[in-house]
Amino acid sequence: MKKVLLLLALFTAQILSAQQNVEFEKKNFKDNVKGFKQAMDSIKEGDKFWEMPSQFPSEWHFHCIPYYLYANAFNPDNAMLNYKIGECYLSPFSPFKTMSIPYLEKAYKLNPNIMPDIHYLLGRAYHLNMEWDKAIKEYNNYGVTLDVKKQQAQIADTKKKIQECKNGMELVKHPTRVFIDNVGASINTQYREYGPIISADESEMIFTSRRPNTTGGKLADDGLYFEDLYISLFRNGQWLPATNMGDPINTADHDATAGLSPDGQILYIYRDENGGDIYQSFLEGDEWSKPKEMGGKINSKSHESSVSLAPDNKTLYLVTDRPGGYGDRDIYKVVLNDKAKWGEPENLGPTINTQYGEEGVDIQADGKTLFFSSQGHNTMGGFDVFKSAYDSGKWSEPENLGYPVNTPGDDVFFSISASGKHGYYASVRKEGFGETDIYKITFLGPEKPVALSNEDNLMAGNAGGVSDVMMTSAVAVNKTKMTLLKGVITDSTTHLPLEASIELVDNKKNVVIADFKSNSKTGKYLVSLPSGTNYGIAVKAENYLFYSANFDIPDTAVYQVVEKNVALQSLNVGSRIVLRNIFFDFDKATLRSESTAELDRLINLLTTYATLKIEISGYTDNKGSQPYNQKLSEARSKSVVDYLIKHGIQEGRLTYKGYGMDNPIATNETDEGRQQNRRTEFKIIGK
Amino acid sequence: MKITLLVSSFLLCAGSLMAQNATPGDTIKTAGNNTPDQKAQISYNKGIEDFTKGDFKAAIVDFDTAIAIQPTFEPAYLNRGNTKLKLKDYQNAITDYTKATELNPKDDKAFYGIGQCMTGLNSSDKAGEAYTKAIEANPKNADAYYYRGEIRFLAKDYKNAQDDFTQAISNKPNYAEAFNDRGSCKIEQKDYKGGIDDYKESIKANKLASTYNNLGSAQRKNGELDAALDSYSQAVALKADYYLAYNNRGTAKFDKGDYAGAIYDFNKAIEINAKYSYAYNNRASAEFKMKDYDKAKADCDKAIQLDPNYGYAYLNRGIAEEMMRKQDDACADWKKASTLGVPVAKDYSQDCQ
Repeated sequence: MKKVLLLLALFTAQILSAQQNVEFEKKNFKDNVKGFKQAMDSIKEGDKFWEMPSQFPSEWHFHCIPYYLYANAFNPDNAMLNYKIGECYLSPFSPFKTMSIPYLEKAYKLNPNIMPDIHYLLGRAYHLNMEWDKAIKEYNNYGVTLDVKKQQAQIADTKKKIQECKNGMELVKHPTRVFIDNVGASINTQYREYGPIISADESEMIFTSRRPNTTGGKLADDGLYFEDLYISLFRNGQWLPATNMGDPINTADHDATAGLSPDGQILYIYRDENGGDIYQSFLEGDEWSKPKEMGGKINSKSHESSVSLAPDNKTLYLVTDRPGGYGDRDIYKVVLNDKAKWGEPENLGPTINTQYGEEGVDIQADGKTLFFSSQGHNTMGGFDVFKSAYDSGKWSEPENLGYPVNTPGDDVFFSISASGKHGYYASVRKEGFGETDIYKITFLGPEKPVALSNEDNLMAGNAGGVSDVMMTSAVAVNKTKMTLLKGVITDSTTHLPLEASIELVDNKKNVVIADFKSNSKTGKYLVSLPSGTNYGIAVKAENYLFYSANFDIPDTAVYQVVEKNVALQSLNVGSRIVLRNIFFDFDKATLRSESTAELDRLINLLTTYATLKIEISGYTDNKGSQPYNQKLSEARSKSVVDYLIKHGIQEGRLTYKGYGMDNPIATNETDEGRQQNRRTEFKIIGK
Repeated sequence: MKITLLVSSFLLCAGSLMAQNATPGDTIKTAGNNTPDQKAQISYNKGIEDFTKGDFKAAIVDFDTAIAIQPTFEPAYLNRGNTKLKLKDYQNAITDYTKATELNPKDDKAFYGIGQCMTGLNSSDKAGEAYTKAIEANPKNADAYYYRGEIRFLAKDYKNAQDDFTQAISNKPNYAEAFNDRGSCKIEQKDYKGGIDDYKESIKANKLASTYNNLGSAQRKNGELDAALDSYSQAVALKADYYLAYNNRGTAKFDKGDYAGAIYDFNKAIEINAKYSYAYNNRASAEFKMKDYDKAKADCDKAIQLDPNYGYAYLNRGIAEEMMRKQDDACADWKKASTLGVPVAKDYSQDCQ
C-alpha cells in the first residue's frame, strides 16, 4: 500500500511540474501588476514590427527581438511569445538564427499546436544548427500536415530542405581543409560587412557595409543604414583601416560591390536602379570616374546583381534574372565585340544554372575556373559556393567547396585570389565583430600524409636489418597554372610614372589577346598570363619607343608572380630598344611567323612618326666564329629591313647592320645570357 | 716387443664449427699402444675435446701437434681452421682450410669454412665463390646454400637467393632460418602471400622473434592488420627488448586508426632505445593524426636531432608546422626534405612561392 501511495505521489508531482502555458492576462500576475504592464507595453512595441505591412514583412521581424525578450524575461512560459521570438530569430536579415532553437522548442512544449508551421520552423532552426536528423524529423512532421493539392509549393520546399540536410550530412563527413580567419578590425565592425571583392594580387579589397558613416547618413526602409562601398589596402602584412570610397562611387542610396577587374582598375557597382543594374567606374590616376551604367546588353529591366571580368578584359560573367533562364537568377557570359561593345549575354547552360538561384559570380585569374553560389546542386542549405572548370568547350560539374566553407546559411559573394589559395566572403561566426563579417579562407588542399619509418631483420643469419620506409601514397597538389606579371612603367629619363598601353599578343597565333593601361598616376600595371602560351608584350606610349618583352610560359608552369618595371625611352636620336619578339629559324635569317606582331608594331611606329630614320642591328652570342656571326647577324637585320620595305616603309629611312658577337648585353657563360645576347635591336639614327 | 696396432676404425666427420659444430663423433677411435699415426689422432681428439670445452688456444696446440706428427692429416687442418675461425683469425683459418682442400678436394666443409672467413673479411664475392665450391663438392650441404643465398639477398639478387634457400630447405627440411630468408626473398619480390607462408613454416620449425616480426610486417603490407598485431606481439613476447618490433606494431595500429595505441608502442620502443629516431618520427605522425601538433613537432625535432639527415622527419615536421600556422617554417622544412631525397616534399615546397 505504501508503495502505491508513493508511486501516486511521484506521478502527481510529475504532472504538476510539467510546464503549462501562461497567458499574458492580468489575473495571472496579480502580485506584479507593474511588471505585467511593462511587459505588455514591450510586446506592443514588438508587435509593431511583427505586424508591419510591407512587401517583405519578414525583413522587419528581427527588430522585434529586444522587445519580446524583455517581455519573455517577465513571463518565459507563454507559448506564443516564445514562438514569435523564435520566428524573429529566423527572419532573413537576422544574423543569429540558431538562437531561435530554445524558444521554438519551448513554444512547442507549451503548446504543440501553437502555429501550423511550428515543425517547419523547428526544422529550419535545427537545419541551420546542423542537427540534421532532428531537422529531417521536423520537416517530415511538417510535411504530413500539408494539403497535397493546395500546398504543392510548400511540399516541394520541404522535400528540398530534407535533401539539403542529407547533402549536409555527407559534406560534413569529409570537411575541406581550410583556415577561416576574420580579416580583422580594420575592415569588420559591429555593423554588417559583406560582398568582398579583391584584386588578383590581394593588395586591395573593396566591400559593402551598412554603417553610420554611410553617404547621406540615413537609414533604409529596413531600419539599417544604406549600403556603401569601402576600400582597404593590404600593406606590410596587414589590412589598413577601411575608408568609405565616397563620391562619386557612393550615393545617398544603396551602393554595393558587384565586381572588380583583376588589375583593380575597373570597379563594378550594384545600384537599385531599373530593377537592379550594374554600373562601372574606372580608376584614373588615383580618382575613380563617375560610375556609368554598363553599356551594351548588360543591364535590363530585370535584376542584375554581380559581374566578373575575365583576365582577357573581353569576357564578362553576369548574374541576372532576366527571362529565358533556368529559373530565378542565372549566370551568363558576355563578350566584348570588335566595336568594343558588350554583346548579347549567353546563358552558361544547365550544368551551371539550376531552377533555383545562382548568384555572386567570380572568374579566377586563370580565366578557366568559375566560382559562384547556388541554391541548387548539392547545397547544404541556402546558397553554397561552388566551382567549375572550363575545358574542351564545356564546364565541369560544379563542385561544392565543402564544409566549413559552406554552411546551411547563405554563403554567397565569394571572391577568389589569383593563386587560388585564398578566398574571401561574408559569414556570421561566433568570433565575429557583430552581424556579418568578412573572412579570409586559406585552402590547404588535400591532407598531406605523414610518413612512418620501419625496419625488419629480414635475414635470420647474422646479416643485419634491412631498412624499409613506408609512405602512404602522395596526393597530387592542385596548382593554378598562371603567371601574375606586374610592375611600374616610367620615363627612362625623368623616372616619372607613365600611363602606357600594354598589349598582350599570342605570338604563335598572332592574335592580340588583351589590351590594358597602366595607372596614370602611379604607372602601375598588372596582367594575368595563363600558362601554355608564348606571349609578346608591348608597352606603348605616345612619343616613346615601345618596349618589347617575351614570356614563353610552358603549359606546366605553376603559379608565380613576376615583377617587371619598364622604363620607356623617348623618341630621340640614339634611343634604342631590343625587339624581343622577333624570331628566326635556327641558324638562318628567315623570319618566323611569331614575329609578325612585333614587325607590325614597328611598321606602325614608323608610319606614325614618318620622319624617323632607324638602324636595325643584329647581334649573336659568342658561339661560332666572328665572321660567321657577323654574316648571320647582318643577314637577319636585312630580313627585318626587307620586311619593312615590303610593307611600305621607305627604303631610305632604313639601314641595317650585323655586329656579330660584339656588344654583348649579358654574359656568354650561361644559356640565359647567350639567349639575351642573340637579339635584334632598333635604334633611332635620325628624326 | 712393440705391437703395431692397426687403426680399427676412425671417422672423418669433422664439420664446420659455425653451423656444423664438432661432435664426439668427430673423434678418431684408436686402440692399443700409440703409433705415430695414433699419436696424431690422440692429439686431434684432444683438440676436439678442448674446443668443446671452449679452450680454443689449447685446441690449436693439439691440432698443431697432430699436424706436426702427420703433415697430411687433413681433418686436423680442417678443425684447426675451424678453431681459428671461432677466434676470428680469418686469414690463418683460410690458410688451414685451403690446405685441407688441397689434401681433399671434396672437403665441402673446408670450402664452407673459407666462405665463412670471407664473410668475416667483408669479401662477399669470394665468400660466394667458396660456398659454390662447397656445394659442388657436396650438393647436400644445406648451410652452404643458405649462406650463399644470404650473399645473393644482400646483392638484391632475390630470385637466385630464393633458389638457394629452396635447396637449403630441400637438404634440411626443418631449416627455420632458410624458410625465414626465403620468405624475405618473396616479400622483396612483392609476393606477400608466399612470404607469409614461408615465415609460418619457419615458425613451425623454430619460433624466432625476428621471424614473427617479419611475418607481422608481411601481414601489415598485405593489409592483414589484426594478424600483423598478433605476430608483432609474439615477437616482443619472445624478445622483451625488441624495440624494432614495437615500432612496427605501433605502425600497424596507426594503419588501423588506433593512434593512441600506436603511441603506446612507440613509447615502448623509445623506452628500450632512446636513440631510435624512427620511433620519434612515427610517434610524431600519430600525434599529428590526433591533432596534437605541438607534440608532433617536438618529436620531429628529436628525430632530426638524432639523425640530421632524416628527410622524412623534416617532411612530417613541415606538415605539423603548416597546421600550426607556421607556413615559413613548414616551407623551409619541405625544402630541406626535398634536398634529402623525399620526392613529395618538392611538390609541397613549390606551393610555397
